[in-house]
Amino acid sequence: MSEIDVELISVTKRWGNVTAVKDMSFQVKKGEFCSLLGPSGCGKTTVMRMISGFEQPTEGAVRIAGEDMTGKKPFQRPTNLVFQHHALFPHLTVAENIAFGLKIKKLPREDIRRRVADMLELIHLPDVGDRKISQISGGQRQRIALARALVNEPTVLLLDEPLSALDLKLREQMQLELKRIQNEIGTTFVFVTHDQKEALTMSDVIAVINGGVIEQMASSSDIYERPKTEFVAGFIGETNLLKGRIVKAGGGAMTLVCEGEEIHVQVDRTPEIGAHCSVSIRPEMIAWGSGASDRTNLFTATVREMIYQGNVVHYRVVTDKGLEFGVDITNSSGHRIAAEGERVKIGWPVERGVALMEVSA
Amino acid sequence: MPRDVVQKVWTTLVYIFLFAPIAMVVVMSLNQSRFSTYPVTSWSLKWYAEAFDDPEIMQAIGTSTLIAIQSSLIATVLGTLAAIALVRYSFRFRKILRALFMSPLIIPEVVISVALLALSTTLTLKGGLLVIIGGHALLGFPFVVTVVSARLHGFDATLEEAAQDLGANEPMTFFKVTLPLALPGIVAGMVLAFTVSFDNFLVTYMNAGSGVVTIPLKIYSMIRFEFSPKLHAASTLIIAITVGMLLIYHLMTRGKKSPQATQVSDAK
Amino acid sequence: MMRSAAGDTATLAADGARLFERRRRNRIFGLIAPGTFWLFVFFAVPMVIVLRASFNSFVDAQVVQNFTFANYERIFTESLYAKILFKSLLTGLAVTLLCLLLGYPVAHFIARKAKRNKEILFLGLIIPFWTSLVVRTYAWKILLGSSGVLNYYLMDIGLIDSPLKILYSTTAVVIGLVHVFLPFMILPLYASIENLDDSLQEAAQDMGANRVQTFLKVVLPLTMPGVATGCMLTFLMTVNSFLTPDILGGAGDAMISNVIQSEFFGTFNWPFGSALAIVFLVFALSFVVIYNRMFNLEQDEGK
Repeated sequence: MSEIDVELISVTKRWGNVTAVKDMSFQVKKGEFCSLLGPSGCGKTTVMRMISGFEQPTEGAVRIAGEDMTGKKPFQRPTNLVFQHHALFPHLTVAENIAFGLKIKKLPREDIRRRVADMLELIHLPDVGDRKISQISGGQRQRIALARALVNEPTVLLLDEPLSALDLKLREQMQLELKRIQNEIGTTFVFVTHDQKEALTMSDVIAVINGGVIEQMASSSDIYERPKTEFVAGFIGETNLLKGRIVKAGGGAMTLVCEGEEIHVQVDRTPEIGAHCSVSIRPEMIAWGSGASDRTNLFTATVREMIYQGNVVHYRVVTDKGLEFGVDITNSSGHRIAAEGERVKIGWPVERGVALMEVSA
Repeated sequence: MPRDVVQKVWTTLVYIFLFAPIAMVVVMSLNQSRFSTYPVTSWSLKWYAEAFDDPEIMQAIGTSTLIAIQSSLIATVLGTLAAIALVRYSFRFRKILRALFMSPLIIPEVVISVALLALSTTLTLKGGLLVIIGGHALLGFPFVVTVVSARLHGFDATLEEAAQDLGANEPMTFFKVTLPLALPGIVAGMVLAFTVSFDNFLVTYMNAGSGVVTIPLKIYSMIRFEFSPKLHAASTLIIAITVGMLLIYHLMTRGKKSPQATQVSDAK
Repeated sequence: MMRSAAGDTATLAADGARLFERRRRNRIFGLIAPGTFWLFVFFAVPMVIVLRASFNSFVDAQVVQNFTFANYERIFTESLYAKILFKSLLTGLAVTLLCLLLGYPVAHFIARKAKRNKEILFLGLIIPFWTSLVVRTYAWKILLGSSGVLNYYLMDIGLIDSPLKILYSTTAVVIGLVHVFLPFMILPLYASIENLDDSLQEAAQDMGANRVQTFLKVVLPLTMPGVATGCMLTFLMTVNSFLTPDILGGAGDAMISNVIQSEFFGTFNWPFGSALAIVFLVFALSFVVIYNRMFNLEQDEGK
């Protein structure tokens, strides 16, 4: 069994009347790249600060590599944090910044020099050691902040939305950089972000957090293709959420009626007939259809809107009975673009839809 | 543009108004003639020589300097600690406390002088150095709080958090990060407090007792009893000292961009 | 198994949080205690003594322990003190208005027009600000005196035949005070005008306002906080002033601070002086509180 580097046990954080984190428990395995993903105010930053030691849980405990961290301050923990706005010390040079933690540990000067040099190599910035922070560009600063944290060889590296202050191109570059470095070094990374694309790109495991609670924690593909709640389905990527009443169930499948249309979907447990439920179907999973079958949901619909987006054409279609949803069709050769007002046959394989029984908070 | 010219002229006139008395004192100090009359026909440095030869003037400058150094040191320590509390921590009475700390600026100086008088009579001191230094520190304190607060605002708490994250405990963080970054503000605050003390009149006047003569007090008595261009020379010296302090202050408070700015400009 | 661990960790966490909170409180206390202590010892406690003293009597040039409101009665009934208060307030108003009229264009000019020389001009404003008050005041004495520079030039040009008696009058006091407090007015105005967004003025002009209208409808209202701060500082400091009325003023120009000082060192009527001080303090504080409420001024962090 692989080691657990970060563990939260029933952690709650309250400030007066406000509960930021509610009885949260999860584990991060050694060497994993785990993202804490959620909208602003969901509590992910609070969780990060409790792991790093800047906040103490009101209830529950944080364990790093099995050791209980209750009462321990940031400088007593084997964690290091990369701040959102780098927080590099302006009165020190690049090398001095990186060496800061090592100097406090009173390592011999030669060791420090060597490790700083190695770090600068790792982040592909070997020559900037003697420069002042004000002389370094924005993208480089974040890398130096990373180096400053990593050089201390922490058990867990925490990253608090480190890329959100960068512009798009730089951000995408840095995402790949971070992934590469993490692969090379093998340290456990816990990464906080509100950008779902970023989380999907970089993570082994994603914990989707909303209102102080983990809605789902799973691999990137599971989160995307098998969301457990409406919130997760809606937050990650685009989706159609079709809500309706269950009319038939049994044998691993279920039918619900939404706006008069029947929608078939696979389920892993048999739900109650008459209960309300939603089905999430991603726009790109929907295609032009021909034959109906019990393996397909097929509808006759009118194209209400057509938005040409270059590589993809986005349609909004409405079925004859009034069920509306969005469709993304790749604009590859051979595919005709439907015009607004045109009547089309459109649908998706039953197994592509996801039934969401739990209503999110 | 005509409107601009009007503004330029207006501004120039106002500046002349502001500088005229000071310029006049300096000019008069170099006037050969004993009488403060115009125009200046011949120039001389003899009044400076007389001022330097006057033991009372020199002693007054010395006393002022000593008092100013001591009171500004106290004000700086008190003010820096207070500023750290007000800027880096949030707590219930913060707003009230800040208003309290600023109050010496609002309370009429005569009232402060009376209070100090009450203090020294109760302690049966006859005025004297203790009360004056204490009072000057009181007056300088809000200035230090203001300047150091401004400086602390310029870089945020995440730098201190970063230091802690990297292994520095609280005292280490203070000496390795907070203090070096706040230092220009602290020095500026001290310079300000020094000037406030050096130039102070009323508190000193009402609490000096018989022994203490600061240079503003000496000048005041010279206006009444010993009006000579030696006065202008002494005053010019004072002006030079004060302006010197001011230039130091200015260097401390502009200089490099504040550290926060480097973080914000990353986004660009 | 999780639940018992959670139970243990719950108490551990609660203890940890409490310890942290207590340490944090101690640290804050340690930081604010010295300053608060100083204020307490050098002002708060002495003021209590002053308050107590204000109820004493003064008989035959001696202080007599007593508990009487006579001093306060005297302040509120003797017309002299109302007159002095009135005079001080009037002077304050005059000086404030003059400073505003003289200072606003200057602040505007430095903030908006003088791109290159802004720093020098700013410095130029601060230098007189920090020059010793005694020096500046007696300089005016010389300037305005019968054989002073001003009269010399006026006679030289031929505007007057004999020297003007400006000195030892209210005019001289006002001139002196305007000189002292002009920077107090200009600096907040300057800060306020500098912070104005250019695009606001441009928007106004885009909608058809000429320069005067833009000024009245955009610039002036938006710089009101700066105006309010500048006026409050100038007014308050003028009313509080001692040296300028003392050196430049005549017998009838005494202001509140002069009166209080002379009670202590002229008449030696300390009880009465104490009462005056208490009343003055209450007045000054009330003014600031009311003024802040009226103009909804917030304390700026820093300058």
